[in-house]
Amino acid sequence: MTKVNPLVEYGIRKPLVALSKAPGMDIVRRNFRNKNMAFINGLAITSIIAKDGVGCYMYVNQSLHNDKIPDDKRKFVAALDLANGGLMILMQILMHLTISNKLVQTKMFNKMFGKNFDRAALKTYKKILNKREKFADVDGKQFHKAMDNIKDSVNEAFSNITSLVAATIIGKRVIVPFIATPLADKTKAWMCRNDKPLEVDKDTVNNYDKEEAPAVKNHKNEQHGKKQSTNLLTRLKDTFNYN
Amino acid sequence: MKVEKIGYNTYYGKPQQVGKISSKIQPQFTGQIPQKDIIKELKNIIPYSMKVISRLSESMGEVQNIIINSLGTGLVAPLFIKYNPLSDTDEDTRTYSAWRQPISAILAVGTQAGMVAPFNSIITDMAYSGKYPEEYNQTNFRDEKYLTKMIKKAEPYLTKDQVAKKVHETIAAQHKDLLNNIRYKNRIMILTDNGPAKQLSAKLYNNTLLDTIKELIKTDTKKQESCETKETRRLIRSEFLSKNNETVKATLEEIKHELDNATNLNSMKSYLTLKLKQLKKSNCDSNIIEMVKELKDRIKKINDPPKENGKPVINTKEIIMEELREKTNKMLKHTEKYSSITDENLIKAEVEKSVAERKEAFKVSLETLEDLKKRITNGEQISVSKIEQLLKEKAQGISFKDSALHVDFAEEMIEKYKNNIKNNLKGYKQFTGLIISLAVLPITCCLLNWVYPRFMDAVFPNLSNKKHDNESKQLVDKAPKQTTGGVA
Repeated sequence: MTKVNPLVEYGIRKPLVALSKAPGMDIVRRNFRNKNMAFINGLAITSIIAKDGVGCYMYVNQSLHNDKIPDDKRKFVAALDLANGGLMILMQILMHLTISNKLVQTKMFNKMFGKNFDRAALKTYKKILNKREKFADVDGKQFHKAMDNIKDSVNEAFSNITSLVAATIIGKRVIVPFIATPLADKTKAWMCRNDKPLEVDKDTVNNYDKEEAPAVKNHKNEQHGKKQSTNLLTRLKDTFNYN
Repeated sequence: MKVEKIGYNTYYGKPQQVGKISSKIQPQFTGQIPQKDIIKELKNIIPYSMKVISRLSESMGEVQNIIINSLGTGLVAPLFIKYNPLSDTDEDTRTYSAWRQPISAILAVGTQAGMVAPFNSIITDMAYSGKYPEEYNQTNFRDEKYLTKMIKKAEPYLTKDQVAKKVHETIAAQHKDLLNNIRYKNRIMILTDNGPAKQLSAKLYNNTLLDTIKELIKTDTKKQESCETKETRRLIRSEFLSKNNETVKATLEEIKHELDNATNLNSMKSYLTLKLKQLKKSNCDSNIIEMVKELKDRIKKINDPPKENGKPVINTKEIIMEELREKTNKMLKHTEKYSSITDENLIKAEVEKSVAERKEAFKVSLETLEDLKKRITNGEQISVSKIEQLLKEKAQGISFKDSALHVDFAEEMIEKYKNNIKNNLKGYKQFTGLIISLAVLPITCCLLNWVYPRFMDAVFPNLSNKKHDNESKQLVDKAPKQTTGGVA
């Protein structure tokens, strides 16, 4: 008998076997056996939501303490993470509840694949199958069983993919960023509410124009035919060159 | 993964000797085509999109979740961050933030999927070698890939053909053993990690038996319902044919004539599409429109099966034309039949007669199965051979073969047992994947935190600190001082 590496045995195999007996696994097994798609898709979404939750906490924390990210961008990056995280979790739950709904799934499936499983289609498939020498004797019962198997697998994958795409691509990546980016502006302002104003060197004078908003000023400069960058430092450089 | 024990053969208490195939082990030839071969052939002809999705279902799990999630993160999210018109934040900061998404996606796939995928392989191997509790024990369903690996390891001197032969023989033998155990000994034997083969617990065996009966009830109930619908539809159609016999006959004759002269399937499809439009335009009865649509719907986009020796094995278009001709003739025959039956009661009687036998078959089958379910639930021990005998007795005199009365019960039970184990493992893998990817997440986050700013410094210095570092001195030097004004 080949000796098994104790690291593999106690570090991987034994924990895996223990996990297979963990409380609650019987619920997972039962729902997977009964092909309860709401549960199966729900578990997939839960996995993503759990990761988003933990990830959100870690990303915000790390972004705030990451000296490599420029000061002026650090709080925005962290705020964007926080706003994103919260909204993503909410939106994914919402999308899952709507798209994974049995009625919605049936409607979508019939719209996309219904024609391929209707009576006429089945008759055509069977006729073609029976024309192959090897399958000439396949009767209706065998044929329908095979087609049911294919339909089940298509349905299962379709349900899983649509649920995931709706939650993780449309909900999380299309809808959320639209709301999260403006929300991040507000979150950043909230995070900066207790910040002390930047200390100004005694030799340096602030030339910030209190009378005219920077946006108006930019607009005027553009009117002069000078395209301005939104980057603060580039803009300052341009300003000095202009002066 | 190391192999501890070579035990690719089944239940003889000890592993089979390397290089020897038991004379008892012979492939089973029942004359029936294996279900998986029919499915494989059908997948060759169904539309490509269905084929792809069907294949995906076999591999759905945590890895696919991570990939789909990362596709959204890496490809879609950056666009919506950078080009968000609702944001007040400057473009550079948005671009800087947007670039984090694809980096995050690549790292997620690399670390999380990179960890989950090997774990899935370990789980599969452990299930095939009997290291898991019985709910996940797949020692009765070892597949080609696993057996090939085991045989190659045990007998490295075998040629490729010899290995393939031995794999097929072992698969046939494991199926035969399982079938005999279920049918004649009312038990399922499984291999365990370190000990000899052991019997599946009575609880799990009975649950599998009950699940098989429930599955058959579900299937037959569905068929019975469709039988009721079929009867109603036939009645409506027959009454319509009786009342509009001449019109239908004329339309079908016209289609038949067109079919006889059609050069190809496309021209026939165009003709039927045009015909349907005409019928709809002239406000024809919905029944005749439905009949023509039934014909048109038979023209599907079918893929040709793979060529053999460079030659097409069948011409699917010709077969569809043949099916169209047969269906038209059948419809004409049906129409002809109802040209002489005009009395409503006679029509009803005729329709009832046409579905009577299948209705009776489902009635008997469901009664028998419900009774069996009740008896087993109440703790009665009924053997598989007894169930098969009972179904055989009930099936006597019923020639309609599509009900549970005519199934091979032991084979159905094997199928159910196999699917139960497969689905248990699927759920377990998904759950394990969730835990593994959660455990790996801190690594992904730390890695992102380290890689992201460095990547931006290296690739987009104008967006990050690099540019600031290089230029800050120049700017400070240029900054206006006390006398001329300055910058904070």
